[in-house]
Amino acid sequence: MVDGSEQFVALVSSDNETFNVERGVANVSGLVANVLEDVSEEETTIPIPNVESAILAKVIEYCRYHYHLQSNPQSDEDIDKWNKEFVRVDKPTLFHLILAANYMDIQSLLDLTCKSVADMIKGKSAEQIRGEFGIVNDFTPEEEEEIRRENAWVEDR
Amino acid sequence: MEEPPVARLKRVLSPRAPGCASAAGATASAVHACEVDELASRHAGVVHASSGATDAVKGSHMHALSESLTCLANTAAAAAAATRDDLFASDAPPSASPASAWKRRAMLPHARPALSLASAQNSEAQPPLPLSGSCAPPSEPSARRIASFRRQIPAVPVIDPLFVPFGQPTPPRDETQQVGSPAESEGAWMMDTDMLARCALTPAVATSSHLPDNALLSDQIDAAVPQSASGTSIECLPEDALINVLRHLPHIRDVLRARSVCRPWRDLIDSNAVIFSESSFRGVKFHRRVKLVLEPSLRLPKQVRNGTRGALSIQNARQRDRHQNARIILEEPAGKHVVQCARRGGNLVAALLYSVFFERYRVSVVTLSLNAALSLLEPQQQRCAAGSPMTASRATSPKGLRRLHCAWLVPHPQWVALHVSRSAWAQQGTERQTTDRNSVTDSFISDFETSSPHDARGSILGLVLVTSCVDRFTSSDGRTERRPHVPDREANGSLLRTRNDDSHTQPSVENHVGGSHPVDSVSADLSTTSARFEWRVGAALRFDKALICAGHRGLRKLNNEMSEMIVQMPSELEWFA
Repeated sequence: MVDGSEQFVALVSSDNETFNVERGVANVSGLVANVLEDVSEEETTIPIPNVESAILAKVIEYCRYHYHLQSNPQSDEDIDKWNKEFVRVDKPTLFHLILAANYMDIQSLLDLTCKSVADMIKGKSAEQIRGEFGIVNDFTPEEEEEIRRENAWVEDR
Repeated sequence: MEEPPVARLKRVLSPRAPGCASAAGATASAVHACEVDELASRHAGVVHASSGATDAVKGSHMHALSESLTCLANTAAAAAAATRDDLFASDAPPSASPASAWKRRAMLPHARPALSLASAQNSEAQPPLPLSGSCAPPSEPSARRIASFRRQIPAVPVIDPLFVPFGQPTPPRDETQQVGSPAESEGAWMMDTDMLARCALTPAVATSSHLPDNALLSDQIDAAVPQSASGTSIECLPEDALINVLRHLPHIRDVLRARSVCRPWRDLIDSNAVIFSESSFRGVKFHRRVKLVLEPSLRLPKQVRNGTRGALSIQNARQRDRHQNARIILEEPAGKHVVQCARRGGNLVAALLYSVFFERYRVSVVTLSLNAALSLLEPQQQRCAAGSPMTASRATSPKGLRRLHCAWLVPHPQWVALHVSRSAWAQQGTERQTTDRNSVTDSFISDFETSSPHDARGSILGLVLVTSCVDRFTSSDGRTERRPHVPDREANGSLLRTRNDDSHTQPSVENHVGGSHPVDSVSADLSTTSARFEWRVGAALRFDKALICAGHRGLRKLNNEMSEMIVQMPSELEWFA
């Protein structure tokens, strides 16, 4: 407990699973860093009540990789590749990751996951987007026509 | 008969104000209610996924969670119902405005640990705790359960969540306080409903094994809460996260397509400028689809309306209506939306708007630093002193041609409108952002009244006729060689600038304000690597009063009354030749 590099903290997921992680790794999360700043040295159990264990495990995986990048720098391509691989998950997991990153205040993970979702939206028509994400079209025909007219200026003809 | 320009402007601006404000509020509320619904349906949806756990991706994990999740769904639904009924009935919607959203974000880091610690305590609490004071028997309909839950929630919170203590030993409390504790609930109310749900969820986890027949309850909740189409969907994302997703869309086309997906997305995009404030407009052809509408007072000659080349058009317009102020509206299909973008998109879009306007006259718009623009427009012997009003710049005839080294390639000969960079604003870091309608309107009007050269950043100061534009450098041997460049409409001006080469990257020569400077000194200042082209300017037309466009100061959130591009034509044009 004396040597900072050996300290561990326990993150407890919403379903009461405990993850022991290095303090540095945990500090990638702004939420955890905030808590650790404010509690005493002995306090090493931090509940993460909004994140379930499978997601928390993913988040910790991300934190660990990016924490160790500080000591073992890698090429941008490698990082990019790792990140791409990391977000190759099904949509529900991705959305949970966004929520977790948002809650745990990990900006880079939030950007990564949001960008990943944005890539799914990019280049699709509205109908394709609805299909992709199971969104119900709640516009009236009149509204739809209006929007179609409004958007005419960016659509190729 | 004839109103002074400012009075006219005020008249134009005023009528739509209240409707706009209330519409914005309604939108915010609607989006928020939606968010709450989604929160509830998400938890319900998760329960669904877990009941079919074998084919779920993380089957075992979900299975283990199903019991507590069922309970989560119940509580979230109750919270959602209570929120819809109580919170929005009160006059304190937590995230009704962007400002409060920011505040919320700012306070969350403080509030979250407090909740975390509180939840740790709650999970250690041994005795089963039904929602305090409202022991609902198992057979009781969930509606009553929800109603009794709702009674717990204080309608109007007063406690500042920043004062919620954390990191300190919490004094022992008796059991009934722990779940329904006013301090917790009120803190949550002040943060947002999302946090409320989290707060409410925590006790439910602690007591999950003690609540009877969760299945029955979840069925009832299912009936009460609208289901999203698929288990965990994009609709479960809170507003902040969805904004974060949408702002990663690179092109304005993607954003507008997303806008046409569904109402919540449309409202979200309409009310959050950040989503497309950096969108690329590459490849969008404005001029083909913009219709220019002029007020009845300004009737342009037919050939001008059809867009003849060069200064003739402007001149004709001015001769026709010498003392009128023209209000120019860009209309549907293109214009309306272009302008809607402008009122939210700030200076970059304002530059685009200018481009749209001048495109009509086959005039390019090029963004320059203030000094570069003045060097072209001012008579050489009589440079404008700092702070002097524009009307003081009465012309004396310039001697010979003016030259400017510039990063922009323009076709030639070509009239170019000089749009003044607002780089100084950007450097000060004081981009004005305000949601207060009156202050926006006032500052806008005052801009009209006091437009001096140094208030004119972002506006258009005048027109110059570029008689030739040559590339100063050769690529091979480094020898400077002047050769005429092939005119290329697609490569010039503000229309096609992307976010990476915005105006603030241009060389600035602000240190030369005041005094008399030969144009050559400006050329020297600008002959950096980016000043690749040399313009020769044959004629300069200085506007008596700068053209100002709504949004020219980078006001990100202008109001509806700004949705028309308002251009005040100069009251008198001056010619140098």
